[in-house]
Amino acid sequence: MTAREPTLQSLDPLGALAGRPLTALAGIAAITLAVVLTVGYGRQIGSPVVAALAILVCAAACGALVWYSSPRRAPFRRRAAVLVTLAAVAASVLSTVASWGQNSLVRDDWGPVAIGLLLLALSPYRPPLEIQTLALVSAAAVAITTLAESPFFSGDVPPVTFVVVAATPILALALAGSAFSRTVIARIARWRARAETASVAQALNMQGGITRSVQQGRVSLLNRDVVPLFSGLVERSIVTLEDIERATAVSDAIRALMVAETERTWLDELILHPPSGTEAAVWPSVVSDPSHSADAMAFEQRAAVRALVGALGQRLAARNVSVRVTGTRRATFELSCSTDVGESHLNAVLAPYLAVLRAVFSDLSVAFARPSLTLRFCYDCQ
Amino acid sequence: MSLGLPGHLAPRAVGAGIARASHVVAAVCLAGAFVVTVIHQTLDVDKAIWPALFALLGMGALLAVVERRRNLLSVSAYLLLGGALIYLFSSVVLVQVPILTNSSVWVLSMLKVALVMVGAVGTRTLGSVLPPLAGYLLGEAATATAAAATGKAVQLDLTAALATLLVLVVGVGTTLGRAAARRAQPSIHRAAMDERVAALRATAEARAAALLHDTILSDLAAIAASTPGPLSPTLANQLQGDLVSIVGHDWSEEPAPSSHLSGPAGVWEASALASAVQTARGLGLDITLSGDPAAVAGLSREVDDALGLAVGQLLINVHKHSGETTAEVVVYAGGGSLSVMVIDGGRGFDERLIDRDRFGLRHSVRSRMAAVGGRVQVWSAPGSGTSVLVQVPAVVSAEDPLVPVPTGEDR
Repeated sequence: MTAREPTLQSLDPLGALAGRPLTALAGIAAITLAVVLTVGYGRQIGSPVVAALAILVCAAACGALVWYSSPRRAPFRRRAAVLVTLAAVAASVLSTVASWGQNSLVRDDWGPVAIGLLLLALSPYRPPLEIQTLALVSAAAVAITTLAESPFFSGDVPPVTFVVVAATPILALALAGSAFSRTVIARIARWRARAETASVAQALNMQGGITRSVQQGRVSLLNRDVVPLFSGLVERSIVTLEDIERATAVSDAIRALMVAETERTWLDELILHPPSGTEAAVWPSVVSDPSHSADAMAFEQRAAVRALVGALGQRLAARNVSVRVTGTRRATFELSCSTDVGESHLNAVLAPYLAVLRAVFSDLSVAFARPSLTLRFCYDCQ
Repeated sequence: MSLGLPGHLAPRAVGAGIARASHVVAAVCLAGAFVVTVIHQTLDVDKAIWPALFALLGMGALLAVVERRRNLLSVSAYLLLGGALIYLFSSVVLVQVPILTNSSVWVLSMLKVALVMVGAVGTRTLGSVLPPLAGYLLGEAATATAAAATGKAVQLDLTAALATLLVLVVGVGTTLGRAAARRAQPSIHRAAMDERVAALRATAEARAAALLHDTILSDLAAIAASTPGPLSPTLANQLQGDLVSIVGHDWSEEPAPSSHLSGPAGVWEASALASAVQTARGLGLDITLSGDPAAVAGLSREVDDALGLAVGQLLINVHKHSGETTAEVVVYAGGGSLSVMVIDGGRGFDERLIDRDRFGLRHSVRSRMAAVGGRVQVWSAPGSGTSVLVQVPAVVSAEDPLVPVPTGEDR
């Protein structure tokens, strides 16, 4: 896993999932604006072909935005953000070319507003600083075309006025987007610091109970085999041949148990023990992790896998769960299981869990051919 | 845990984000209007356009107040006073700047957009819908009244209307989609908590395994190795002690302070390492101690305890596996660490070939030393004896040293 970028999508995957319809809506709004303003100011257009091309490129930018922001393709990468922005700027420049010499009012141009809307829509997926940079670069590009076009504008004001008018929608919308993600990211960081302390404190509170229950397990074993042997020996002060044989047998049994424990990882514990609410009988499972790569997962990664396994058992009644972890430096985690639910129900249930998995792992892929479901993702071993 | 905001906090975080974003839009619009107004004034210095700038500054100040404290009072003040300032601004510029001919010119649109971008009150849908709508209506009313009063045309402002629509869609959109996507959040946070508990349990299990290995398994081995007849008093004492410490002692409490640490009678004598050597001598091993044993004064209590247990295990290994009755323990300090070498001239072994179920070196020595930042090196080959070097960090200025370390230069 590469270092997580400070984006809303990676820090609050479910929030980004909830905001996805708004992303699509921003794309639709940009296209609608382009079409309405192009048709509404038809008399200012010198080249209808270029105007149509401008709308097409704008639509392509919106399409790319919707495509790349799909939860299935998360995380949204920088090159995708640059592509969307470049396409939007290109559309804006084309629309300027289409009305070259005949455009009288810069405020009626749809280009800057479309760029601003797309940058606003990008903000949940990219770091605030990147959105600001893209905004400044796009505003500079629009300023240059506006300056070049300024001799044709009506109104006896210096060209810089037109630049202010053209750049304002880009800066206002894009900076608003970056301010939005910056604020929510700060809230997440604040909450996380508090939650972390509380959760560690809660876990520590439970530590006594956990240790006692571990002791209980061990002591009940010892009470059965070891305590009678030891106390008998101390009482009699004589070692018999039978004692020696018993000591050897008990020692072998305890060693065998310890070997089994040493070989097990947290993943075995997770998969082999049925989550609460499921029938143990329908939970026979296998974990294959010869190099113990599951131990190299970070806390958040383990928690995400734990949440997924819980959802598979409780919400999808999954059976025959098996896990295979391969690779040592870069591990591939593959989970297969069977479930009888339909594809749409499966997608609806899994969407939030997959969003979280995508935030903490890389290269997640999901294959479902009823009843067999396979999830695969990768991570770098620390 | 950056696995997402919990459901009850998300609306407030998103609400705060939208309010901040709205205020940024308002600030950019006011700044744009300010620049353009200054340009108009510099183009025509005879005209008194400058009073309009004060209206903009007033709106900026009100915006700063709403940004600092967003509540019903500040939002209402921004809307009402802002509306009045827009009226003032419009009255000035529509009279003084001839090219501004109607109520929806760009500079007035910017002010209206700034009023729309007031931000929501509370986290409910109504609180996010009403303020922008009120801002739009008040802005339109202010510019229309000013235009009518100055004889300029009154026009519907499409820019302000679209800005209002944008705020409303974002406000409503974020409240609608929220519930469905957040439904899984509690189970994700529960999984994180489960993971924390599982990690604690794993640590407890590992500690229990090490404890079990150090006590019960070695007792069992001692019984198995003895010959039928009277029980040796050393073994009897050991069995008695271990029964109490394993079955009778609550493991969740801090390990009972070993009796040898109770008093700083002497630096070496007080250390867990000395106690380990003493115990091994009790098993019948003849141990030669050399080097600088007093250097253990530089160890923290935790490191000393771990070192004592580890070296104790190494000496038990010598006793059980080397076939020798003598061993050498060398202690020396330097370079911020303390080293203990345990040497025997016995059978030796190949570490790669020893049974998987020989836990002594793995559980009791290596994992213990790793836990306190130390390391272990083993030199051994079948037939040529075994040397084990254990190195632990020695912090002379440790917060909790075994005994106070003399500063050397007492005045």
